[in-house]
Amino acid sequence: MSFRELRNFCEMTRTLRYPRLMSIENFRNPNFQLVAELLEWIVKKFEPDASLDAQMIQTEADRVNFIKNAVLLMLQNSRIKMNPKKLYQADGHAVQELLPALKILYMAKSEDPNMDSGPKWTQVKQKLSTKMQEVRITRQLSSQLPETGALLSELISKPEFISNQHERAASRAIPLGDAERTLQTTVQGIGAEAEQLSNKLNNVASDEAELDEKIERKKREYEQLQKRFAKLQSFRPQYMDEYERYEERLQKLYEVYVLNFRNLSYLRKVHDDLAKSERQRQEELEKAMRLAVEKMRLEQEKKDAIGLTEDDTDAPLVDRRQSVRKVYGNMMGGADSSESEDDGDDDIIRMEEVNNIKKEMEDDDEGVDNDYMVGITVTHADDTKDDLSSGDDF
Amino acid sequence: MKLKLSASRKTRHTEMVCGVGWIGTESILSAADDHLFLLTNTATNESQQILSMQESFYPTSLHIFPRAQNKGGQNDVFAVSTSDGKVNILSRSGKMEKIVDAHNGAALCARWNSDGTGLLTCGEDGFVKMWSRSGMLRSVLAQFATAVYCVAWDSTSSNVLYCNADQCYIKSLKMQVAPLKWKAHDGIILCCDWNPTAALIVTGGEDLKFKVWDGFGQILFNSSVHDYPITSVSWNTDGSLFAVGSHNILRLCDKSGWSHSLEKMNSGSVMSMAWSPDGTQLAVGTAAGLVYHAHIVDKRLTYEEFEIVQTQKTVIEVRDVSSEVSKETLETKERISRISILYKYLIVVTSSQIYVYSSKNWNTPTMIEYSEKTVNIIVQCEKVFLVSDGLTITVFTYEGRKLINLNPPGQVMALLDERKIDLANDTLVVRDRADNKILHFFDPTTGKPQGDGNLKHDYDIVELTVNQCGPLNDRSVAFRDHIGAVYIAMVKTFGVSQRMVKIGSLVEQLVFNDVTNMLCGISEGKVAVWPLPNVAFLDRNLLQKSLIQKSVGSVGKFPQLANFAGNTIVIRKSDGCLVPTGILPFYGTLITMASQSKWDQAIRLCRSIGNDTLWATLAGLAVIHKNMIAMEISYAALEDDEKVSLINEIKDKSDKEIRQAMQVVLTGKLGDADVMLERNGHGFRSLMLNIQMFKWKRALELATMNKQWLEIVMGYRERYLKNCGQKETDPQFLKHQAEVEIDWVHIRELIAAERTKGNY
Repeated sequence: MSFRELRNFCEMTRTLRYPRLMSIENFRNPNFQLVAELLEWIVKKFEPDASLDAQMIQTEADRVNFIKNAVLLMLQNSRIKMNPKKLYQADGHAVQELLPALKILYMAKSEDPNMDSGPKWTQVKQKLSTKMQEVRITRQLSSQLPETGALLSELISKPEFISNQHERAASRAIPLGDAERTLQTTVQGIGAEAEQLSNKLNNVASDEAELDEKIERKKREYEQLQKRFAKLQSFRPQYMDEYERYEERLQKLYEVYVLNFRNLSYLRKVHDDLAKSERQRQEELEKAMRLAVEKMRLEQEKKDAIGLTEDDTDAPLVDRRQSVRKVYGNMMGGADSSESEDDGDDDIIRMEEVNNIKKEMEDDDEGVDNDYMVGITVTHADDTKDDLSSGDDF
Repeated sequence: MKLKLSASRKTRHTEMVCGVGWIGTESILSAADDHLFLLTNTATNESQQILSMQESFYPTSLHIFPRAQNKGGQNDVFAVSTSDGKVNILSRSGKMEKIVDAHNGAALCARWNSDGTGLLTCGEDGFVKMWSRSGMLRSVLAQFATAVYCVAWDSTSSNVLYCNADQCYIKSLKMQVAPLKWKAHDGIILCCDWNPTAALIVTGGEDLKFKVWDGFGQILFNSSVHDYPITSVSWNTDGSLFAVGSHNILRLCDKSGWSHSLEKMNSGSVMSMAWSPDGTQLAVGTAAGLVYHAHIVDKRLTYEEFEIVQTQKTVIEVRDVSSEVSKETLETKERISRISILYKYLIVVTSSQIYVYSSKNWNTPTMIEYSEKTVNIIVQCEKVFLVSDGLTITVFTYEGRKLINLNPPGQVMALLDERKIDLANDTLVVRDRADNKILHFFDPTTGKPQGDGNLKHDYDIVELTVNQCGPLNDRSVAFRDHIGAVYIAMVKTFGVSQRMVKIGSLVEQLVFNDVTNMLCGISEGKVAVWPLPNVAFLDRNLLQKSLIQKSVGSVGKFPQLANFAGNTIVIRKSDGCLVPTGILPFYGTLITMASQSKWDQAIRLCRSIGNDTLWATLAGLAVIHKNMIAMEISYAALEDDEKVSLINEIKDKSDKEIRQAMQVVLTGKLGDADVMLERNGHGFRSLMLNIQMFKWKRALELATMNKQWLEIVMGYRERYLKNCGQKETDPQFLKHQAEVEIDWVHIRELIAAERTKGNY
């Protein structure tokens, strides 16, 4: 056993589409089951009706029997001698025995599409096809034969009738006067037609001249119109200058309008955002407040329930509640929100005043930013003064 | 992209073809079980028998001696392992140079290393042996109980890969360590190959799969199950593709594993494969005895509105998708090996010429004779382009003038790949071939070192890219080292102390934008874009704030960044699909506006978008261009209060030097500012700066040097310590403590005096 044999063996089983994949390492160790299956498959390739079953190898006797049968079948069918002892070893040596049989199958398969057998095959094919052609032609001819016979007999019966007709035609006479007259009239007709045509031909020249004249006239007219058109085009109405001026102004105004509109919409957006956030804050505040009040109320009730002295009548409690409510009312009150809204409005108004030109708006923004930063730095500085010695003094 | 197969049927092997190899780029040498060696000319598709061996000669593998080492090319040498355990070193003329008894049983595989100094063999007896060029046994690398079917060298010839049963082993030749071992397949491994430019391994086995691994044995790709065992795999010479052969099947795969194409043949298993030196042709030896010659066609490139397809061996079709009618067919005389298009120029490399087409005029290409070397790499930039075979680099202009011929420094024979060379108009960056930690910069027009010449990093550099826009002073290189950190480094530095800054980590495949200096990389499921990587030298915070991160869903495990043009990033998924994704267009616009000094517009844009990263980008631009107004506005928008107040302070100053120093303070380089102030005679200001920053020692040093203001330093120090609740322990301060008496009124007066003098 050699590496090459194992490799070729695997390759052949793949090409022959052996139903399971062989590994190159399959025969490094004895594997009787596999050898038996292979053997059965190979034998059945040669002799499909062989009664060989690779499942029947449980006992030693079965195995020996199986190998014997297989070897015998191979010898009978394909004159391949196998060494049963080596096959029984079921390792690399078995591969050596199986290889010749497999090789026959492999060569058959690999040679099939090749051109070696091609020419012969085409020759045979050609011969066959020519023979087939001959048969077809013969068949056709045989079917034509009665038809031709019938036709022939029909034709033979015809000449008598034809000769009769011929005679009748020859005996008929023509009146001479009539013939002459008809000829004359046709000659006259043709003469008149010829005259008419020559007349028309003569008139062509004059028609042509007429048409030329017409073309000339139209051309002149066209030129005149062209000139007039040019004149009209070059004419510039008085109001044009004014119109252009206005147009320019409109353009400028429109640009200003667009700018303003953009600024306005931006600011409106900012305003909306601000209002929205304010509202949100308000709601949250309100909610918190409500919770707090609720809590306080609950506590109070609890306190009541647990037992305030009889001295505490309802009236002061109500008072207290009212006072609480008052506070609640104050806290949620519109004053705060209105203030902030006012602030926002102020801002916007200020911005609008300033914002006619983009540049200015930016400056304004910067200013706002700066203010903001300054505020921060101031507080920052205070902080540092509090806890560290460095900083603000210089 | 797919393979087009053709085979010579007139003269052919009658048995299994076990070894194929290329002699030059035009002929295939094949060895088969019928004891013959055939030489097939790929141009005419005709074969001739060049050698006939004795009856017992059954080859199992063939490997041609690496050509780059072999001057002249006439005396090609190759190693053939045979089934009787011998390894033959033969020359093309049939002369047997050496026969060694290498293995007991069959010798299964023989491989030269990349520079031809070593030969690796393995055999049925389970040995893996290494031999010298002349066939002397150097060492036995491994020994197993069962056969070793395949071996491979890595790109630098410092590691060896071998496979036994279902395990793969990587053994380092440089270090005495136990080999790295992992279970790679469920069946026996039949074939393996190591990428010639990168640490990528492909293996195939009897479990009907092929797998791609990295150099540490981590799996990168696992193929679906085929019908038959994978019998052969092979990387092409630039490591961007590999071919996989099985029974009746030939697959062309991208390096990340997905298939470009699948060819069906009817000639049994593919027993051997070899790529031509230019990496575009494949020789395939099959079990039925046919030697197929395959070349790559349907290579497809897109650039702006052009779509370029190589339809045949010598024909390229150019379609302009913006107009329906314009379609050009370009034809070359010889086989096309490589094409590339960028910056409106199409470069087509054939076996002996380079054609440069301008996209304005497809009819008249510039032709350059270039036949001495194969071309594996083309790198284009706006004005010049380079071609390389992985060993030497040649730079041309688009007019066809050859500028330089460069041998990159370093003596190891490992090939360069496209991620290790990059080119800009004025800089050529290449990684040292011997020492992976060094980058070299060259001027592509003269070949002289550019800028600082080279750069040394602490770790191995894995990939690099150079930005394309701006003048030489802006030129910077982004690179990634093998531990995954991304750095940016200046090519040219004039006395700037900091040359290299880390900008991120775990980001791969760095690509600069084509029109701006934006840098893009890809990390786990995300695309990271640095709009202004250079700002890292000025303000680290801004770099972090301006980083755009965009998560891209479902791109698979190892996505690749295909390109980054304009605002579009194209990612190739691990299954080969192209996924375009975009970033906001405002970053590019902002950078252009800043370069044209349209600050008003830029600020307006930022206001209307109101995005923090955009503001940070603007701040970065303002810092780079030193525009105080824009800087102030953008820092304010980013709520960097202290910076804004500092800028306001700078604005007040009239003295140019002080302004400069303050600007340096703004970028956070206090040391530089301190030195600047002191050198220009603003000692007091420098002193106060140090006090503000609590750099007491430096302040004390300044005070003692100027022999005044000692009281101020001591006063503030004392207050500081008091606020911290600590006591003075520094001997220097203790020494001076006795000399001064701290009187805050006096200190304030002193400061006020300096202020009136304009020193503060």
